[in-house]
Amino acid sequence: MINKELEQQILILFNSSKSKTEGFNLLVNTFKEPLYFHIRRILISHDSTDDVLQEVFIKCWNKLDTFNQQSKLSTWLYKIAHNEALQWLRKNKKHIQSNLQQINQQHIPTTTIFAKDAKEISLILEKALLNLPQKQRLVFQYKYFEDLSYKEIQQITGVSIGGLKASYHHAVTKIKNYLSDH
Amino acid sequence: MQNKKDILKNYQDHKPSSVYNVPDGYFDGLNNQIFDKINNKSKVISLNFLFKYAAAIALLIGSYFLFNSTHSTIEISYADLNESIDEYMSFEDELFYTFVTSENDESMSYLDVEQNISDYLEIEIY
Repeated sequence: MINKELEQQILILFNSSKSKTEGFNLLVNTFKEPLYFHIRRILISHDSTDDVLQEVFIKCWNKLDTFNQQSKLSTWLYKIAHNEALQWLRKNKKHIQSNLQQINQQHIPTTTIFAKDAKEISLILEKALLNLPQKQRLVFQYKYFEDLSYKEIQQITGVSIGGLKASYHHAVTKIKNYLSDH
Repeated sequence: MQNKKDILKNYQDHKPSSVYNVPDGYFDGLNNQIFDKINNKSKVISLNFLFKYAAAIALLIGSYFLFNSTHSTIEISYADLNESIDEYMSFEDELFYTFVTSENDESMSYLDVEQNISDYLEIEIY
């Protein structure tokens, strides 16, 4: 979780012409890894994730001075990343199928779930995620990995809180079933 | 035996980097890559502005010459016009001119519809 003080520090630095670059560097350093893996889970391939992530930060550079602080900075950034990633998906429907195959081809040893190491467990969870419909997958990512509240997810996705709760519930049920079978 | 409900708790600490391979040093060089792109884009934007201004100036200059140029009007009398038409007709298509100007020409006979109908009835019916 990114704390509020750090977000404030980024904004103060960015909004001063002398320290704008410093503020932006702090923002990139703070958010590059969480945003990268969030986008990577949606787009799967590194190259497309790299393109989208850079575009997200460029948009951020151009628009951050208009950020009105009605939401958290992290929520605002996730919203840009969400829109950019979905826009990329719409433009590149063919690529995503081959990207999904890359993950599905990774080998999972056939031991029981409680005897697996961290990497195997991560792989099973990521595969479980890939089996979900896109909407459920995104809600699960925001809630489970990014630990965002439903209100924040609503601000990012524009979906009602009731809809988000239903999607999360379905996602958790499906993932649990998948995990218990592997 | 662990309860199915607790299964997801085992995954809380999992690291996505163990599944999604990231090239070595990718995150270290990311800031510079982004700044390079920002600088390149701002150059492109300033060039675009330059082209827009150049196009606007060219348009203004073009409009000035268009609206300020003297329009020469050709004046011609009715007699001259008539003469030129006659000359044209006689020169271009003498046959057509003859056809149009002839009053009792046989070529106009198809226009006499009543005569044609009576001729037809006489020949075909009676």
